[in-house]
Amino acid sequence: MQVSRTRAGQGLGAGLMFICFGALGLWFGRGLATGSAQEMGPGFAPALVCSGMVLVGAIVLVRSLLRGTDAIEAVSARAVFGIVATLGVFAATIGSLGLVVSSLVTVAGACLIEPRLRWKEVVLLSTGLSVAAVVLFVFVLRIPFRTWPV
Amino acid sequence: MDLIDNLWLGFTVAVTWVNLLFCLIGVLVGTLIGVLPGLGPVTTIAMLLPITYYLEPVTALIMLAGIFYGSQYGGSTTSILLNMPGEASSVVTCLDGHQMAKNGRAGAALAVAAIGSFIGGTVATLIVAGAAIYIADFVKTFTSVEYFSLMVFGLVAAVVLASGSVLNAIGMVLIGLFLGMVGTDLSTGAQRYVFGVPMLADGIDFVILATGMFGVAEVLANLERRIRSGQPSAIRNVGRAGLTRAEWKQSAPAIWRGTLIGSALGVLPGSGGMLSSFASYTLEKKLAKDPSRFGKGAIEGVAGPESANNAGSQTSFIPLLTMGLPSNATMAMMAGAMMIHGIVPSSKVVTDQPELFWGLIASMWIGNVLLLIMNLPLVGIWIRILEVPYRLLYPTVLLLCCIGVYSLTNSPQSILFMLGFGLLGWMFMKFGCEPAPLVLGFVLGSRMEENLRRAMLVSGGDAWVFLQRPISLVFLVCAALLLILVVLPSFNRSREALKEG
Amino acid sequence: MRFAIRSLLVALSCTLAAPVFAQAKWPERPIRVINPFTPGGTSDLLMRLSTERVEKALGTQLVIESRPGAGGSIGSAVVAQAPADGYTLLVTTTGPAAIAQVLFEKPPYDVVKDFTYLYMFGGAPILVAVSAKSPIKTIQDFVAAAKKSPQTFANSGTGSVGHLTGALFAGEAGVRLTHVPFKGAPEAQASIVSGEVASLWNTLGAHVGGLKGGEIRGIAVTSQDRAPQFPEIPTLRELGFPDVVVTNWFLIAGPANLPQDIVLRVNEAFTAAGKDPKAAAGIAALGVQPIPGLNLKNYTDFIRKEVAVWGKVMKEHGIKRQ
Repeated sequence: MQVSRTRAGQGLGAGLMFICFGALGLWFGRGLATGSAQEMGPGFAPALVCSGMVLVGAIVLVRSLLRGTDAIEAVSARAVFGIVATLGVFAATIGSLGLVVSSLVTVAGACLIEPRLRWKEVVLLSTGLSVAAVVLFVFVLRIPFRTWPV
Repeated sequence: MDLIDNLWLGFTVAVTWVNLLFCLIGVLVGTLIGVLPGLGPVTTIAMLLPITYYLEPVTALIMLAGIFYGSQYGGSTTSILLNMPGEASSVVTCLDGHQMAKNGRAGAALAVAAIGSFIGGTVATLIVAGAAIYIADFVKTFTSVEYFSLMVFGLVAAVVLASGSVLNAIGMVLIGLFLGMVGTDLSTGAQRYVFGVPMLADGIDFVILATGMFGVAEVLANLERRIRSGQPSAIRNVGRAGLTRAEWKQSAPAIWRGTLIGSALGVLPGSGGMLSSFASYTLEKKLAKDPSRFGKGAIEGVAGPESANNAGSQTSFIPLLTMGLPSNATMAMMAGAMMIHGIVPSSKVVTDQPELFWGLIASMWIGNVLLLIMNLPLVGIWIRILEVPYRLLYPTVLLLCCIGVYSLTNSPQSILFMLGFGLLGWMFMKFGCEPAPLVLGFVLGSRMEENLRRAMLVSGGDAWVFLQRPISLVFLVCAALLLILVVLPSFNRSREALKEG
Repeated sequence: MRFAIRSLLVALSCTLAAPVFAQAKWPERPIRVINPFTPGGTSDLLMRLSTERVEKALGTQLVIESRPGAGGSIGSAVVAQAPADGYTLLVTTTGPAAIAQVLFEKPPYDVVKDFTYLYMFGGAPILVAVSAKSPIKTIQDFVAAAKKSPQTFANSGTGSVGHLTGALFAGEAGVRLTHVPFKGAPEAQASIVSGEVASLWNTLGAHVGGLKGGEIRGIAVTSQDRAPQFPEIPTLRELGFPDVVVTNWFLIAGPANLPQDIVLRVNEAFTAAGKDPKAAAGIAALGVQPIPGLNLKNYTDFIRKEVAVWGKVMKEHGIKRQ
């Protein structure tokens, strides 16, 4: 794979990310007391760590602007939204519909992310995994899951 | 020879049909939950406690201990095959183990993990048998000062883990430390970065973070690549199961070093077991002739940490068996199991109930043999998983991640957190930042702060205590040396780069 | 084998029973018991010691579900909001069932109004201990040392019973004690063994091993009477601190307005289970002793009284709300 170096590359992203993390931490931690050396407050360590993040971020940022870094790989919106939707479906259904139904729809949903969809496989895989999940987690490991919709 | 007499006593207890059977059940269940993400030994032991009610105490403990170290064995499997750490300590195994799988050496990685774990487990069992009491006496002297300095050393080691930029690694350690501080402050009860979310009040759960950042992020990255390029499978080359002669030569010393590190650090409460696998990895990388192989599938990066991890899981029994102090959540569960049977874990167990103490130790070695016998043939089967087309594999992985994480809290919110960490991990990949240093920072973060504050509170605000106590001083000097070793080469590199530029 | 068959049967019966809505006869499906702490703690172990017997008495499975967080208040809130049908119960303790009411700025539930209390396992005293190597042999020695210079005390967690008891004692004895919080009982105990912290004020259960093994020396307990396991350790009451009588108690609760027949059956089942010799031995090993004079009728009064006591301790000793 050909990777080109650019100023708007990974380093830029990483630097901005560190700075953002640090700045958010400092902002939301502004109400926490820092205390004294003997009795450090809850805000002492976060302030130290967040300032460190901003500093590291700034260095990474400057270095990437000076020397350039590897380009960021392209983003596939389909994959990202697919994952968000799949896990969202599980979270939304497991509590109310139980393991059987939740596994079915989650696996079926996950299969949709892939462009090479084979309907027969989707049906087989989701039923198979749903049954396997119930056997493994509920029967063998005895985890207190809700199995069926109530 | 007391030791031999005692071990003989132990084996007469452990080698009965019933105890062998329950040892086998324990390691089987342990392997299973180790392989599955999310599910840990704590939940499983809790679930099985009422059943052990009918068993002899020693039989119950043999089975429950088997679950614990069996899960440590099993944890490496999913790390290597799917980049999904089933257990906290197997995050390190992901680094080179999964790379080996991508290079078609999954079989070798799994085999060396099993063999390393066996050697680590055997040696550590001997250490527990022979030196437990002396080690306990040493650990008894540790205060917050020593723990803090040890963790400083651990953090410096975390920077070495990264195969890319040192600066990025430092940044990631800091993010990890930060995430570790989320939750209710131990000393004051102040809520930090909780934003009114009840789940965050006790801090971020490690398993949720790791499953998201490794398991989910890896699936997302693979899917992206497949959608863009249309490649049929993430890994096509399964390779053969055994190790080559060269791989043996590289692994053997790593296994021994890992065993030593694991045995030593496993005794320490809290994150000892986890620190040991990170420390072993760091050591191997520093000793290697060509450190650049690490992160690209270096077999020492699997052999060392896996041995360390399993050795540590055996020696983590020492504080419980010799002082009655459980050193981690699983050991607390074991202590509970003993209490349920009316045995109070204390320093008196060795003298009052020698058959229990030595029987358990003998069973630990037998369990390790069983695991080796079971795991080596399994390698051939496990690597077949890689031949499963990815379009069938990834929905399975996602479902396992979901169920495993949900089983921890029984709250759908935890799935959303896992998703959040998945996206975060994916962003880290995009920006060329590796998550491993973050994980170590995360694990050490709150404990480190806690110990610092406690040490300062007790010393009355005098920071010199860290240099006055000898063990602490040793850790800090080691940390400083390691830091110089890490920073110097990268400093030189950047100067060269500037000259060329 | 027995386990496999049993779980299979139970699973089968759940599968068949689950879709039925009508509540003709309680219980007709497994009962969820929320443990608001991590598995392996005293509350969890008390439940697991009784599970087997209670299941037999009620004729259904008990499913213990861990919902840890915020000192037990997260799991407790789940039960407070659950329907009062007897299928969601809670195993709770002083922290979430009394202190939470006065510790939090905004308590997530009302411990008196939102729960029905069903069964009291008993209470475990707070143990006051020092290192076996410490020159302090009695509570008088400790008070004398604290009068000279403020002494430190270790315990597991800010706002825990041990913490508040230490504060209460400091006020009664007129000394200054510095609270050094730890994440768990083992770490707290290790800190007095290493000599880092001067004393330990914590629920007895986790320190039975330390006392038996001789690493720590118990100088007092806070219960009304001496602990049966350790008759040699005096109570603070007899040592001249009659107002420091404290236990960390454990009980079973359900949502408010639970039907009376369910209340009775749960109480009977747990009472019988507690009498089983093996379970009783296990409960005693955990340092939990029966609290005399408590029964179904006055559980709620007891809780009300405890809330008042802890509220007073917090106010008088300047412990900030969270």
